[in-house]
Amino acid sequence: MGNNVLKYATITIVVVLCILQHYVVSRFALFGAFADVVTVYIVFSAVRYGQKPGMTYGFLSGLVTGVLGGNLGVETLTKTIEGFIAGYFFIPEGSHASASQKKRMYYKAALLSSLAGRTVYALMINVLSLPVPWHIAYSIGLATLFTFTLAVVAYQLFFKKILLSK
Amino acid sequence: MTKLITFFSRNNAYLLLFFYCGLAGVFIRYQDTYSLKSILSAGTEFRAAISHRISDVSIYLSLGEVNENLTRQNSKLLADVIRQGNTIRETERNGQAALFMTDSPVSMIPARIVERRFNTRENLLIINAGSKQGVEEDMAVLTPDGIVGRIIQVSNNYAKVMPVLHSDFSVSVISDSNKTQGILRWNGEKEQIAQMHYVPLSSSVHEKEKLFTADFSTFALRGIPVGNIVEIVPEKRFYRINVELDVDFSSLTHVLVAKKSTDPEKVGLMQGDADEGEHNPVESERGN
Repeated sequence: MGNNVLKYATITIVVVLCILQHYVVSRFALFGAFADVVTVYIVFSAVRYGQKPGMTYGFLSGLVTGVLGGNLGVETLTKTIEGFIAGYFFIPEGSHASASQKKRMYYKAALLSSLAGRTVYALMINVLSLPVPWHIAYSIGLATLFTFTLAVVAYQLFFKKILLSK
Repeated sequence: MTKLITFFSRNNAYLLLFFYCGLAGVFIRYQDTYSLKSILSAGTEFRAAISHRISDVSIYLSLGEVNENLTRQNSKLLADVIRQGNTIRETERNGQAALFMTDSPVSMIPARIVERRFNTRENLLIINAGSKQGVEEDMAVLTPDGIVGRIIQVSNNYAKVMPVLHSDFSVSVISDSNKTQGILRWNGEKEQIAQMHYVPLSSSVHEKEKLFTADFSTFALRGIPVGNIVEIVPEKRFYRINVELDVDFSSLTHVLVAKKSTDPEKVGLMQGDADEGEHNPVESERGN
């Protein structure tokens, strides 16, 4: 598949996931926290294609979710940082890493990116005016846990084959 | 020069991060400018249009409950009409009808809630009435039960509402029997309980007193029901007053949007005063 086709396919997937996140995934909230399917895909993109594409897709998805949600600046900042952090776990083409090493790298990327993203978001926005300990528990802790769980499920269902074939 | 190019090529991921974060910073800093607002307004229009279709289905499935609510609201309105008719007649008898004539006629725009979000990342309502229907920013949103919130963004056919249950919302309120005034805000702890602030210990205030929006409010009409006082705790200088809200946000489906026609001269004067007074109600409402 050509590079341009791949880029456009990824951008389309990112836009579709942003809409899916907004209308479907965010409705399954527990104590106000929910998983972020867009973050999971940014992590996958960064691990598969590298730090700069990861950041670019992060920024793009931040633009889409920002326009949909009304927090353009905060969303773009959060998603860019998520792509940047996940990019540190980039698995290059032809890597000799074993299957379990690749899995660990993806999981670490998912956990750290999600944690960083939720932390940045929580520092800037507290719309429910939650007391600080609850804000940290729900907006950072619980949201990171949900996103990481979704990342694990997505790895087992979709990303495993793609990442192991590199 | 070569060193500079080498530096850029080695650190270009950081530079890209810096560039994107810089752009994000610009978006945050200038989010209230017209151009960004119009982009966000287009986003709201798109988002609300999809939500509208989704909510059509769920509303169709819950028509029975909606009818029940409408019947209840109608009966309450009818009761209000009768009560107000009696009051007007009584007042005319006492020769004080002029008191009511000072209020300008109120026109309400009915709307349906097409999207509602109460989570840690968003806390807002979207209604299916926008600038085409006459909705403007800073209009009050209410139901016959009480105040719901304030319009914060308007697109052609939709508008975003900041509900009472938002950390940035505040409104001037007054109690019905003692005429005690204060600012109503929500502290985020309980869904149905908000707090009335800046009530000095010298004020007379009682539990179960009913609160209404006050005339000082810059966006809400005078006399919209707000809630009942359920707890009064004296603190150092002011009372801490808990108010049980009249509106049940969990079952909101239809709302009314009302415009307050405040004399601009009065607003200007109050804003001028607000700059000087720390606890001025207008400042508190506008400051958020």
